[in-house]
Amino acid sequence: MNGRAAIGVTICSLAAAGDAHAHGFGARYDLPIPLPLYLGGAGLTVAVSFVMLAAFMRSAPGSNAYWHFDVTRTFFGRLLAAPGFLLACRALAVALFLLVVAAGLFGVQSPLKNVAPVMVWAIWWVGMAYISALLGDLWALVNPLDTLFAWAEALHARIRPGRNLASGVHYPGALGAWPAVVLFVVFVWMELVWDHSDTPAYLAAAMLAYAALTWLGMLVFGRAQWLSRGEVFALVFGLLARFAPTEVRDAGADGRRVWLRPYGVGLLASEPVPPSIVVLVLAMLAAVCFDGFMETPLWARLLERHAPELSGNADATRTWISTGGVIGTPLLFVAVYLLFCRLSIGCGGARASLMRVAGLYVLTLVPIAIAYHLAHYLSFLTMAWQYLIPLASDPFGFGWDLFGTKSHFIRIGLIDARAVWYIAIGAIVSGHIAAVYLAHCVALRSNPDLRTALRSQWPMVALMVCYTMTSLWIIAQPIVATR
Amino acid sequence: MSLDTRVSGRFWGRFAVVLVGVALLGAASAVREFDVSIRDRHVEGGQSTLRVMRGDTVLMRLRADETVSLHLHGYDLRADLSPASTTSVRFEATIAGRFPITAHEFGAAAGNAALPTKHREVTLLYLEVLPE
Repeated sequence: MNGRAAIGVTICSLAAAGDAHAHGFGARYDLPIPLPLYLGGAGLTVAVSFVMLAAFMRSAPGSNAYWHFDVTRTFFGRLLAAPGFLLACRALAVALFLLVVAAGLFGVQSPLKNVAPVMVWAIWWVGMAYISALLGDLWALVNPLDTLFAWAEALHARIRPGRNLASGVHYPGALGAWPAVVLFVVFVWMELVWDHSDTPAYLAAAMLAYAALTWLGMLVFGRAQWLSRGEVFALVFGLLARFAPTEVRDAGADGRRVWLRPYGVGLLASEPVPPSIVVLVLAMLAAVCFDGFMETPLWARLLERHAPELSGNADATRTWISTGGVIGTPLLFVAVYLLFCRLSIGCGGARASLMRVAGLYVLTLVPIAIAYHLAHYLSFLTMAWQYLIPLASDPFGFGWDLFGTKSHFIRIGLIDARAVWYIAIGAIVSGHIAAVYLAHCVALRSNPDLRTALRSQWPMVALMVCYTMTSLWIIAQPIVATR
Repeated sequence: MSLDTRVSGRFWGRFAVVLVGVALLGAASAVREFDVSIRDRHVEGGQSTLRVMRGDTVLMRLRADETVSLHLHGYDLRADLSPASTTSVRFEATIAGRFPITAHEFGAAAGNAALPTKHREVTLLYLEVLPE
C-alpha cells in the first residue's frame, strides 16, 4: 500500500477561517524557540547586563545632547515634508478608514473574506506598532479621526468665522491620561478576549463608537488636549515612537523640521512622566506579555483546570478568567515595578519619592517590549499582510475582482523558521541592552554621583533581566490553542 | 606510484561525495509514518505533537470511533473519517512551522455542507515541521 490514496483529502482555499486565535485575528504557525537557543539567549542577557554594569563603572555616558541630522535640509526631506504630500497621506488614511468601516458594516461577515479584520488587527494594530517603533510616529501624521475633526474645524471656521468648533472646557489636570489608560485596557480586552473581535460588523461598530467618543472628547476639551490625554492610540503609538530614529520639531517660523536621531534617545526622560503615563506604559508591557502567555500550555492547563472543556459553561468561565487576566496583569506589573523602584531608592541611598523614580525609569523598559513585540509578530505579519492582496480586489467579499488578484494564494513560511528564531533572540537581547543602557543614562542624570547612580541600578537591571527572561520564556513555549 | 595514489585518492573522494549525497537524499526524503487513533474525541495515548523534519514525507494513518472531519491547518489538508475504515493522508512537509490538526463536526454532522460554517473546532494534536 502506498497510502497515496489520501481518501477524502481536499485542499480548501482560505480554510484557515475559524482558526483558533488569541489576538484578534488570524493564526500563527510559529515554532517554539529550541531549548539551546533559549538558554543561550537567557545566558547572553545576564552576561551582557553584568558586562555593561562593569563598563559603566569606568566611563559614564555624557551629556543630554545627542547626534541628529536635519532631514528637511535635503531634497528628499523637503519632498516628504511638503504640505501636498502630507495632505495626500491623510486623505488616503481617511479613505482607508471609511473603506474598513463600510466593509465591516456592509460586507460579507467572514473574518478572511472581509478586509476589516486583517486591516484592523494585522496591518493597523501590529503594523503601526512596528512602524512607530522602527521608523517614527506615523499615526500622529495620518490619524484619520484627527484629520476628520481638523477638516470639520476648518469648515466650521469658514462658515462661522471667529468661533471655535470645540467648546474649550478646561481639561481637569488631575484626570491626566487616565481616560487613555481605561480605553487601552478595554481595547486589549477586545483584542484578546472578545468573541467578536474578528466579526467585521462588530469591529466596524466598535470603530464608529470609538470615533464618536474621540470626537466628543475633542469637541469638549479641544483637539490637542484630547489627543494627548484621551486618544489612546495617539498616546500608545507616540510612546513607541519615542524609541524611533525620527522626531518632528516645531521650528517656529521655519515650519516643521524632521530630525534623524539614534534609536532610543527619545525615551530618556529628563522629567518624570505623570502617574497615568507610568500605568499606561506598564499596561502596554503587560498586554504584549499576556497576549503571548495566553498561547502557552501553562495557560491552557490553567483554563482546563478551572473551566474544563466539557463542562456546561466552559466558554463563559474562560471568558471571565481571561478578562481577569487582562485586568490583573497590568496591576501585577504596576505592583512589581513599584516594588523594584522602592528597592532602587533603598540601594541608591539618595532621597527621592517613589513616584518620581517610577516616572523617570518607566520609559527605559519600552525597548524590551518593542523587541518582544517584533519577535512575537514577525512571522504573523509576513503571513497576514498577504491577505491584503486578494482582499484589495474584493474588500467586501462580494466576489469582485478589481485588480485581478482575487485568487492570490497566501504563502506561509515566507521567512525561514530558523531565521525567525535568530531574529527573535537577536531582537530581544538588543532590546535588553538598549533598556539597560537607557536606565543607566537616566540614573546618571538623576543621581548626585556615579557611585549612587550605579548602586541604584542593581534593582532596575534585575527587573529588566526578569522581564527579558519572561519574553524569552514565552517565545520558547509551543503555541497552544485554548478556544 | 604517486600518480596512482592521487587517482585512487580522487576516486575515494568522489565515492565519499556520492555516498554523502545518497545519505542526504535518503534523509531528506524520509517517510515518517504516524498512526493516529481517535477515541472519545481525544487522541488515544495522549499523543499531542508529531515532529518531522522539513523535506520529510509524512504518512498519517487516521482512525476514529465516529465520523469526523480532520483539518491540518497551514497545509490546508482535510480528511473525512468514518469508524469503519482507516484513512491515509500522505504529503510532503515542505514548510516549517507548528500546525494544529483540528476536528470539525464530530458525529453524524460530518460532511454535511448545509450546516453553518462557524462551528466549534477542537484541536486534537499538532504537527511540528522543524527546519533541517
